Amino acid sequence: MPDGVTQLTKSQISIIRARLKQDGIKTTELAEDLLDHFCVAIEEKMVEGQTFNAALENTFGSLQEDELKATEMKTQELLEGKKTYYPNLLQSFGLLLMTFAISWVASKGVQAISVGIEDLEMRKQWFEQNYLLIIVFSVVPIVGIPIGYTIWRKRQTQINLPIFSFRTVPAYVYGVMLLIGFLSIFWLEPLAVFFPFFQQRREAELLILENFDPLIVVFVIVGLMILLELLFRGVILRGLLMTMTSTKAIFWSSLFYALMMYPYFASMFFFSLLSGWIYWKTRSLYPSIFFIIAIQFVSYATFHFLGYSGKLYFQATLWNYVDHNLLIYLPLVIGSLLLTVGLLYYLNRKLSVESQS
Amino acid sequence: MYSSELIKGTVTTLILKLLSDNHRMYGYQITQAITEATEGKITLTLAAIYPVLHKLKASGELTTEKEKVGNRMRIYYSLTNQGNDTAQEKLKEFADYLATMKSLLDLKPGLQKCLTV
Repeated sequence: MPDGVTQLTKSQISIIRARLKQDGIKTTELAEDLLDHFCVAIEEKMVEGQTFNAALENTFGSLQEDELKATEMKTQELLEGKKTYYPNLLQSFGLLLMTFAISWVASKGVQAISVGIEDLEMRKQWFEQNYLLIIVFSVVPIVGIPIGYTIWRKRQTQINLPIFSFRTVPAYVYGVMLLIGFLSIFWLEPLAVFFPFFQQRREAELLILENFDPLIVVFVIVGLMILLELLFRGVILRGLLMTMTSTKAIFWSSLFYALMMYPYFASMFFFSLLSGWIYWKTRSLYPSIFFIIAIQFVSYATFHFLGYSGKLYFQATLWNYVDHNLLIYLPLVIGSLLLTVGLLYYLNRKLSVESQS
Repeated sequence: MYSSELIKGTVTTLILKLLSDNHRMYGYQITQAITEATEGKITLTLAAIYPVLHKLKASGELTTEKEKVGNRMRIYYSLTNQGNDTAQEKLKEFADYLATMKSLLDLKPGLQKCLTV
């Protein structure tokens, strides 16, 4: 091998990388493999006296028609397609509708059981108290479908692949995501302040939560958040990433997630974008689950700090806390937003560097 | 050049054999080694070799190491213990298959009769 005789420059390597992407190579590790493959082949031609451009064209020209697309498809098929369930956009929407349907049936079931309770107020209260549990048990069968399918395929193909992608990620990722979650409370607050629609529902939810033992609240919220991450990141986003660009895949999976979390649509859409992004960067469910759970607890802790104690929920805002003083409020909102952007930029760069080493 | 149908079933065995003879190899090196060893009779396409390498890695037969070469990364593949066992099994199975095919295609008298009927 003529390694070291001719070495391609960074810009020449970038041209090859772009060409591979343009010709349909999407899987990260396959792209790294092929980049090296093409670099060696081109370097060999350059040693024989060809210019970079000629060597590039000759190397790509020697491929069979759609050879790169076929390589990508076959890799995806062998790695994922035949062994794990991955939904496309329509199927993802179908999963969302199924979740709604099962949730509706479960709520009717709870209503039917609660008929035994004579007092109408008690029945209503009992129903409200089971609200979170209904959601948890409606998400369980939906998450069970892809898990069951994957286990079935694994038995057939005899290939051991994890059902969900859990990879260890550096500890600083969790720290930065926690900080981003905390900052988002400040820059997302204007949405809650100016849309009364969000406030009433959250107030009701807080009242419901107060009827529970705090340990049950923690258990149900953590359980629900984990299940939703398995579904929306582990199944839906993973599937969408195979059929569309990462931006579109994160957008659509977040839209579905936010619809599921209605009426917290706006805030959950942003959180989902962040959770989807970190999943895509790390290909691990650990940081996305951590982020979504952390945001719940940071948010409740902040509202208690801001003075929520039985009074109307929407009064417990930073906006009220600073006595509607724009000179304090505006820098806090803008500052937190800018800091969030900075942290995301830092994380993006650091994770990109790590994936190359 | 052999037909792709004939080569298709042997790629995994070829890769495992090469990696059991060499400590570690990268993708391009594997394709070149096969072409050179077979005097060009077997030239693997990208679609024949890379998906198989990634499948073998996913199923735990291979492990990878990344190394910086010039301005890019190179992925080296090597056999895991499990991969080593699989390589031995595959080679044994393939040798047995070749013996069977040989005896089948040698067209023994009885078989020849069957084939002409």
